[in-house]
Amino acid sequence: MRQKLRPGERAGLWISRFLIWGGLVFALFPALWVLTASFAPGMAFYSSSLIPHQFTLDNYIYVFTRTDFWLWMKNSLIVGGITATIQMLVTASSAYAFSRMRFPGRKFGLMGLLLLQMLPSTMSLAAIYTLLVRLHLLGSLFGLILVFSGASAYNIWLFKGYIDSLPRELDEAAYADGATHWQVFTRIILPLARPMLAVQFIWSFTGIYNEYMLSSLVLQSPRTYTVAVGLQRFIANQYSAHWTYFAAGATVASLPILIITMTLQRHLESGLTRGAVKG
Amino acid sequence: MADVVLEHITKNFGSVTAVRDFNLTVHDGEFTVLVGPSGCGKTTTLRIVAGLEEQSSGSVYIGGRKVDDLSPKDRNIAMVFQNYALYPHMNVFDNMAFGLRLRHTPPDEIRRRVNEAAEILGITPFLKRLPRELSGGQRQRVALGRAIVRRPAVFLMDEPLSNLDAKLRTQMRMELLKLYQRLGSTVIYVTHDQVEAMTMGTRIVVMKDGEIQQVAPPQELYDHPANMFVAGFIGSPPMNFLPARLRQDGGRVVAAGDGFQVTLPPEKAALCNAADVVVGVRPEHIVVDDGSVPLSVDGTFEAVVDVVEPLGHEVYLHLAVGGHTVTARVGPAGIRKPGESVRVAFDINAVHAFHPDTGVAYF
Repeated sequence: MRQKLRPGERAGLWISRFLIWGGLVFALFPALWVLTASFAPGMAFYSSSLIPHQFTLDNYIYVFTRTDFWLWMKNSLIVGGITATIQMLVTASSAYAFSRMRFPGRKFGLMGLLLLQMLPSTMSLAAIYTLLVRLHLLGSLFGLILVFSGASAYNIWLFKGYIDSLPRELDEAAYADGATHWQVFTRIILPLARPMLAVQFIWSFTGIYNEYMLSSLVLQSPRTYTVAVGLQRFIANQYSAHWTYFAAGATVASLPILIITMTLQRHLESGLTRGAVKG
Repeated sequence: MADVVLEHITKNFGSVTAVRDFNLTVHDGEFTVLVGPSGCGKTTTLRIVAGLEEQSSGSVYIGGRKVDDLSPKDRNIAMVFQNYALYPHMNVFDNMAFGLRLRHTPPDEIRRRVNEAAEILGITPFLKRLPRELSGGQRQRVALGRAIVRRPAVFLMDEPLSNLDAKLRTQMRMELLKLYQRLGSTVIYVTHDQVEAMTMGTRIVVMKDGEIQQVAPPQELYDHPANMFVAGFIGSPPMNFLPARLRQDGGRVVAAGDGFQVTLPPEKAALCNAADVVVGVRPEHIVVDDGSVPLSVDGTFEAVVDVVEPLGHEVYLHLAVGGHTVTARVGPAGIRKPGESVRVAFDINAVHAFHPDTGVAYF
């Protein structure tokens, strides 16, 4: 049934609608711009109108056939996929230990991790570079994976909070049933933390997939470029910036993230622990 | 099947002592109930037996084996939790099979045992369901099933019925007893409900502030409480306590207090070594004169009916005796009106006496 709104409520509703629409336009406008630029002829990013007068697939054809684009995509997927998986597992196991076990250094470990994370990552660039040179890993994807694979303190905190919210009786029931710490972690905690695992995987993957600074430092041959590094080369040309190629590449490169997010969406359901304990 | 021995168990949480010098032998096949008010240390004691909590000092033996350094999985116990603690991502079958799978039991054997347990507990139709699709009673059955498929040496139950509604609790209590009689296993059962303790226990351990108050079979606990705490905790409505002073009265010993007196049997009176006592009398041992049987004159006294609680099959009369209120339990015919004056006597053979300071029972 439609309810009559009082004038104040009506005004509030319209204000919030404008805010939402405004936000949407603000968020989608750049994406739309890149999309239309990818179909525009020429090289310039700025055209006279948002909708180009002529549509062409030339930019896509060029990117697909005349560059190492697919190789970069593969590299990005490998680095993103492996790193996100490792990060997720390291985060989950650390969070489990911090949440459920009592050991010396637990409190300071948690605080220390957080403090460490507050330093800007650019500070460590030189150190990472030196380390990779010494290990002869500079320029290799493996080196990059190694650099990215540490867990994030924020994520550990977040994950720990999630595990804290799982009833402890479940662990205890499993111990009484004959489980070890590892079995409790893999058979009870991990399945119940599926929404959190999905979120963290998406975050890690997106972050690493889009990462530019460290990747461009470590990767030095076009054969090992990730997509972010590779695309940047289109517009970093000293004499001409190929913005339309860049736009075409960026459009295709955004697809994996879209697909992964949509695939994992159904795992983000809440209420997984319903029925565990009397609530 | 195994006996459980707790030797000098003490558990401290920081500066708080939850369990103090706890000594108990639970015999093989015995249904032992730990009962007491919240915070008395009963659950902590159970968790120490399970290995979920480590004692500060003392030792636990299960089946003659010292288990202090063993993790729960190596103690051959199964535990049932108050809030069921079912694995929410597994269906009923997998919940029950979990422990067996961890022990690498062959799949055929798992299926046979789970089906058998499900049959006993009447949950066969729900084997494919998730815990969230079950009612409270069904979930508790699954939790029991998870314990019995394992065939452990000892069952540990932590208030398994207290999350159920009153009617279901009574029903499950009976089913649990039947299950116990069928399995004949050793059970340690924690509850704060004295009715559960009385109806289920082979032996009852009454606890308070981390210490054992008394260990005895239910009837003995009821008839011969060791102290005022046990006397007041077991029985509903609770035992009435009245301060009194003993005096000699022509060769007899009479306990007299504010507005009442009761003659004590000589052999019992001899047990009291001080003049001041607290007289304890259960509600059913207060005789209210209804005119049918004349009460002997010298033991009676006057009381005024304060509040009347009719329950159908019996009536609780709250009576003002001197400056105290006592509760009497009488038959439906004994119902009175508030404000009415009645003649009352205590059943001298069922009266208890306690030390006024320590609360320890003389008899």
